Amino acid sequence: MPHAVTIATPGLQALILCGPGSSFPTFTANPDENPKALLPIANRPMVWYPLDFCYRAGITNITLICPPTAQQAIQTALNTNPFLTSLPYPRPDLLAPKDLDQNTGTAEILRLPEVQETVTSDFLVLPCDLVCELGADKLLQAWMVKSASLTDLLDDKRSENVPPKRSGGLGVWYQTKTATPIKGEETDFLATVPLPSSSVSPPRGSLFPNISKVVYSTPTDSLKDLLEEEKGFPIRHALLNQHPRVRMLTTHRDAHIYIFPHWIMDFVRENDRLETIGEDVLGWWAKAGWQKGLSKKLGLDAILGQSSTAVSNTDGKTSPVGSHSPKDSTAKHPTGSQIHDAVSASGTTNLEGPVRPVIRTGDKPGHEETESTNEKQNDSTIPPMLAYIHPSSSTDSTTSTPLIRRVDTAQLLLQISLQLAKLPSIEEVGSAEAASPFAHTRKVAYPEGVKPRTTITKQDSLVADNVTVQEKTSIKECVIGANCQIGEGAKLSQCLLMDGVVVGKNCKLTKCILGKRSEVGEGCTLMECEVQENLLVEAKTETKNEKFMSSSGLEATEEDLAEEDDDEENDGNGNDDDDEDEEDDESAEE
Amino acid sequence: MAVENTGAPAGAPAPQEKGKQQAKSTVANTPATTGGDAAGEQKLTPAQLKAKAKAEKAARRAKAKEVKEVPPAAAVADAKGGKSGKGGKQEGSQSAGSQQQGKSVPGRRPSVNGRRPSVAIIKEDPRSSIPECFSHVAMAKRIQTSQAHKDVHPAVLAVGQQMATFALKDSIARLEATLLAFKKVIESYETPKGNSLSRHFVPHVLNPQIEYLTECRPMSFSMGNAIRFLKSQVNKFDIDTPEDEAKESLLEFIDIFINERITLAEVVISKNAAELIDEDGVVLTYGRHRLVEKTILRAKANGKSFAVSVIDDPYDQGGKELAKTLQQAGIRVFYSPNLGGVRAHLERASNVLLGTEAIFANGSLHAPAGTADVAMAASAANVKVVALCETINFDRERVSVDSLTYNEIDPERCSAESFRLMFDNTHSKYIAGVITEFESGTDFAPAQAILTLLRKREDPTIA
Repeated sequence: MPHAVTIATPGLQALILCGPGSSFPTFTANPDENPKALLPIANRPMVWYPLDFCYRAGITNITLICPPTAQQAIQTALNTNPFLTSLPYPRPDLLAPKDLDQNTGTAEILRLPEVQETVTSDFLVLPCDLVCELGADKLLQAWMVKSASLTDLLDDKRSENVPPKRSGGLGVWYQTKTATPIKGEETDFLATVPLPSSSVSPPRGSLFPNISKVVYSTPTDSLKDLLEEEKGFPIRHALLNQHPRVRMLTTHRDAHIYIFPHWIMDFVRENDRLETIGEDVLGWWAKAGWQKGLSKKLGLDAILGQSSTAVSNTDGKTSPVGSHSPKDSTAKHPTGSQIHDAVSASGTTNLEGPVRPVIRTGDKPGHEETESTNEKQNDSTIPPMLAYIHPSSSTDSTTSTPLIRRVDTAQLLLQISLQLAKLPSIEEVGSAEAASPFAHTRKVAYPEGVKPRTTITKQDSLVADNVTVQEKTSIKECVIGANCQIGEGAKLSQCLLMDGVVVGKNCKLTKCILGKRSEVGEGCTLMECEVQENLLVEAKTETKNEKFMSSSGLEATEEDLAEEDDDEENDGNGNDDDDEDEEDDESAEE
Repeated sequence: MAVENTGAPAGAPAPQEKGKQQAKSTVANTPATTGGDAAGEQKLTPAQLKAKAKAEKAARRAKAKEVKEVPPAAAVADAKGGKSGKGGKQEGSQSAGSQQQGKSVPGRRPSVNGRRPSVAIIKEDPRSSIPECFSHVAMAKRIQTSQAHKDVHPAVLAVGQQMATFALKDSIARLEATLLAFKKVIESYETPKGNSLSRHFVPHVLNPQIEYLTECRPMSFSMGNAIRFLKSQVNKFDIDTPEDEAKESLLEFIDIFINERITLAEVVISKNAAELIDEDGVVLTYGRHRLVEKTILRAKANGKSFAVSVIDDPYDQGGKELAKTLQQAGIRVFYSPNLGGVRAHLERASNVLLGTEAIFANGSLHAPAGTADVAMAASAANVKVVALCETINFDRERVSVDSLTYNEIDPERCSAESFRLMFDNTHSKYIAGVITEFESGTDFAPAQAILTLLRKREDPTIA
């Protein structure tokens, strides 16, 4: 039975955006009935992960936001899925704003009247495809200490701080270049500057050493467009004048975990040109921190409750203030060839790590002093948007660096599922406290369904409830969803089977992803294939790197089938022999 | 501070290790779960299976108990733990929720009961390395928000985290934030039916907040004093006082308190102390303290010309920031990063201004480590030492003649070999006087006269 959350609630609410999953063409062809949010990652529906992320930190005011068309499917899952129903109370709310469709931008979602009404405090924005092992409480701590303002939190109305210091935000970025790189993973471009140094050393185990201030943020796609258009990366002098040390990251990705102060809702409402959070809201907010006059144009001064006359307009000596509208990016001054080179190089694929051009302005000390005072004034006027840059995990130490990943392609789905399957189960570890938050109770949930003389590598596999496995099968490094049936003599390696998949006798599947209730006929040999839900793969299909979908995929397989009929016969026999060999090995070990 | 059994945490890894082996052997004994040869398992009758499962469960629980050492605060927590200890009723079903619940260990703090911590790795208590004879010395526990009691107010959570990470460091800043956060708590408080604010508020609402703040970092003396005032204020209410009226009066009390004891005190002290600064003299100070900074800036604003010599604490380089601030204000600053050349610096100093964290009943100062060295060197060099302190920081009951009775261990610098104490104790004989908000003019009170000073205040609640 689920129980109520018994830890303190940090006073923030969470919005989980349940998007369409356009990068899963095979599995979300019909995003209304099979929303991306419900695709299983290591046998749990995707949306369980961000929900759990919230509950672990005591955040209980959670709103799932989805298009009205997908509402039915998600609501049903919330009411019936065993993982979702076993989450603690109170339950998340499901909000389906009437003007929301599968293509609405994330900032546009925040602008919808229903959402504007829902958000009443500082809030978190999460994607539904987030797998984040790192505790939200650590992020909240970083936000509370480094970004939030006590004036805001404590409602301190005394006249001491004029203009009042307002809370800032916090986002999370992670390194995509890990030990096992995944092809086609999206990246975002991020430029940060170090925080002003503090005399207090950061506490052990906190995220503070990896926190910096965002000064520029854009997806790599937009960056590439810009690079093409401008034949280089234009950087404003104002940025470099104020921040001599800018660090630019090109292989990181925005995890889409944002902790925002409430005033962001006003900011989004007032600027209806903002389309997405990652590019527009963050981008313009970060720029307003160093680009003079921008905060006024974005209406930030009014939103933050500052009299615009008090803001830095008096000290405009250092750089000319252009009169551009927020969307205008023409009047930028390309500077320093080294930056140009570094960034244009990053546009290509040969980048190995973060580029860190350290640009020193090399000015006279007197000049620098005015600079630093300028910076101070700017810091105090626009609250900072901070970035937590998650350190990349070293080769095999999944335990030392918590996993943060967005799962939005089929390849990532497979990879992350397999990675999570490697986590020791609670049964193996001995206690729930010591196990990972994503650990399952048992690796094989229903051992009674597994016939003798089968091989299941338990250290890296996960077999869900009510799965029946026939004799002489071999399951290695696989994640198998509930109610699957694995036929006799089947060999599965590095596969992901969603719920209710039927695998026929003597099938040989490698690196495949099989959708809900799909069926693979007897004697198939599939390599790196994706099978759409409810689809039947004809017996004795032999193919590689294919996506089986209801419209086009099927005919192709039949052709293949006709050609390679004979080979399969032989293959099937070979399989059996192999199996028996392995059985012997296994028993010898025991 | 409860005396902790330091022997036990040190021994903790051993039982844990043993536990793992136990777990392994259990798995080996139940081949059913391996799926390899379930044949042997099937011979068992359901009753036998049930008995076996029960035994396993018991073993697991015992083990979990061993692994998770009862924290020092458990004595307090246990009393309340009873009601929320109903966690472990069922287990074995596949739902994630029930497994979480099933694993809850009786005797754990109620606040974490029923939920897994966000981080999988059991953190070793850093205190375990500290010898038992120092176990009474407090250290910031720095608990996470996810380990806090569920009734802790969000504002208090944030303040606690800032204290735990030392973003709010000095006694007055912490006091101020605490009081403002308590205002939020009071504003959001609603007396449950059948209760009265004067009976319900303190034990059920205020105490969890205080407990959490203490676990983030041990309370400062000023916080202790202020909380005592606040509680006595609540107790003054008649049981029939309407809730609105009581809340209003509490909020007003806090406002006045902050205004009187912090804001005005700061103004008065800096004004009085500024008069002590000699024209063309050199003021020496140690580290960075708000009152000292305010005093120097005020003296500068009054048109005095003087220089400041800042001796910094090498572990907490607040003096650097002070030096920068003063320099920006146009004051001539000598900066020394550590205590190395303190005697040479004292030779040109005309007086020494020290900020303090608290003052004990016997007049000795409780101030950042290193203050005592500066005071002693200064009094040896016949330089006048003046301490600045708000009366809210005064402790009426406790006396201290050494640095080990009341202190705090720096949580960032504590290992098996050594640990750093954050404060030290300066005997009153090294101090020429203390400036508080009750003294006017340059006729400041000697440190020994603290008790008289407090009596002068005639505040019956302190005595």
